[in-house]
Amino acid sequence: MKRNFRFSFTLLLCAHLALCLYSCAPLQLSNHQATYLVIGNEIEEDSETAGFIAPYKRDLEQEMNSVIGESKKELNTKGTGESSLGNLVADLQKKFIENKLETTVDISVINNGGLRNIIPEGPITVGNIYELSPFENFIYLLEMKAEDLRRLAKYSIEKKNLGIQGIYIEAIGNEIQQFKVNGESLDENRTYVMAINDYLANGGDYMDFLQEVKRLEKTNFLLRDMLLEEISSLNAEGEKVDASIEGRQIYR
Amino acid sequence: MERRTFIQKSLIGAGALAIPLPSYSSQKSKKLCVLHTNDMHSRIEPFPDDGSTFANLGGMARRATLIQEIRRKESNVILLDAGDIFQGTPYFNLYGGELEFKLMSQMAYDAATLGNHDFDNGLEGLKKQLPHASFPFICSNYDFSETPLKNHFLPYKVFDKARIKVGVFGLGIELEGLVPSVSFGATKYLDPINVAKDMVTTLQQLNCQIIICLSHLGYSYKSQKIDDQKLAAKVGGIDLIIGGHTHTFLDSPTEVKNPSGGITLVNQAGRSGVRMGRIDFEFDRNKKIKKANAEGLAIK
Repeated sequence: MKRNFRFSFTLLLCAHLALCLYSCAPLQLSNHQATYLVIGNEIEEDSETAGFIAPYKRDLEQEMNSVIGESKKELNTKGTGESSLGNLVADLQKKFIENKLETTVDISVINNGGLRNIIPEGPITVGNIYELSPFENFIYLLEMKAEDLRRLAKYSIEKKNLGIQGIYIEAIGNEIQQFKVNGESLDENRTYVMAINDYLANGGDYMDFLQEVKRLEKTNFLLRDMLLEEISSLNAEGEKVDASIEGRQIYR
Repeated sequence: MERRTFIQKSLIGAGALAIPLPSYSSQKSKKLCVLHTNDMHSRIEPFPDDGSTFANLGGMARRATLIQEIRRKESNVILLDAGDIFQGTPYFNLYGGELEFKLMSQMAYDAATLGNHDFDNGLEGLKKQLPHASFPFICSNYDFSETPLKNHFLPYKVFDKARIKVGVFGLGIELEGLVPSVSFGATKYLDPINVAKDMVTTLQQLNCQIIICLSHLGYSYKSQKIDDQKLAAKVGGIDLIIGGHTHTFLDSPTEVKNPSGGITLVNQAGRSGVRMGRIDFEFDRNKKIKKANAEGLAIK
């Protein structure tokens, strides 16, 4: 029976080949029709796929809900330039980079706009930190000259949107009154190491003047991972997370 | 065993033996259904119902349903992705891309190219996930020869889709300045235009009836930076560029006149698996068109 089929097939093939000698030009692309498909909630989930995702989702939720530390009070970006959360992140960023790279960081900067949520009072979960820092921002180290720092101060006075560690600024309106780096006057003859995220270093939030500044290090440390690690290590030392507006930036 | 099944199917396909080869007439056209995604960015689940732009959209389990439905109706499907599979939700941070690759394999993706974010966990991070992908990655203009990813990717691939030869190559974006240098290591970026010309020549020599470029260059830049539109205008012989990177939502493909006098389609399906692109190509046997004139045949 099967042999008959095979024999018939051979016949078929011969006929095909014979026909082709006369008519089989190569296939040519002749026409097209395009559309797009919106993947919305009217499409039912494929149950097998959803079932495959389920254990990953469960573990992910468990991970997101895991507590990595505790905050003494709510930390947020309320304030004029300086904020409790901005100070916290700038401080932790400095500490983190100094430990990781075994170097000295003179100034550490964070944009309040990049901090997308508060840290609530009480337990801090991994999910809280993802909400706070959803972006894939890496930490850079820049070599700042005195002139660059003056531009930073001018920018900060105008925009009032930065959390800063290592600088004291006092201004009335747009007029700078006092400007100190780690308690000392600006030294024209030296450079300063500044930690900042790549978004700002690449000119984000109108910080164009940073684009030309020398890069000492383009790390692949994510801002978010820095926060997760530093808060966890505070917790391991039995410390609560805390920060306040303490008068680093005074604007009248 | 496979052969036997094939023989039996052929017989059924031909109907009764008495009917002489109805399916081989010169008028018979063939169809290829191209499905494509780009920049899915680890969006495993739909966007949450929070009133935002993409609320309730996307989701890989829904995409799986859609693809299955299309495969039930269409016998000749090629499913492609233009890169940036990784990064964007905690699924990537926690699992490193494993789930994305596994789900794409289950959906039977035919191929993908690499986007800049696919380097986010470094070359080793990407290498670690490759065993989870049953589909090949096609990258023509990255030279990985000095990296741990040497010989892990294809410069091009010819797919036989019901005897339509589909040539696919892949172009990646310049990584310098976009990806931390530690993440891409010794990967060399090669000029997309020159590479594309070589690829088209190669794929034409292999008698491909359609040439598709998976591109993560981006749809369009005002600057001199290479993009899909410039590529289409500078390199002839590409029938379709499936783009990514710029997260561009095109309601229909852009038609670009190419140097061969034909039209190159440029398409992109937004991002995050919110949309899937679909382009159905028809192929005819046309005796009047000689092979030499085949290139740049009008796509209507």
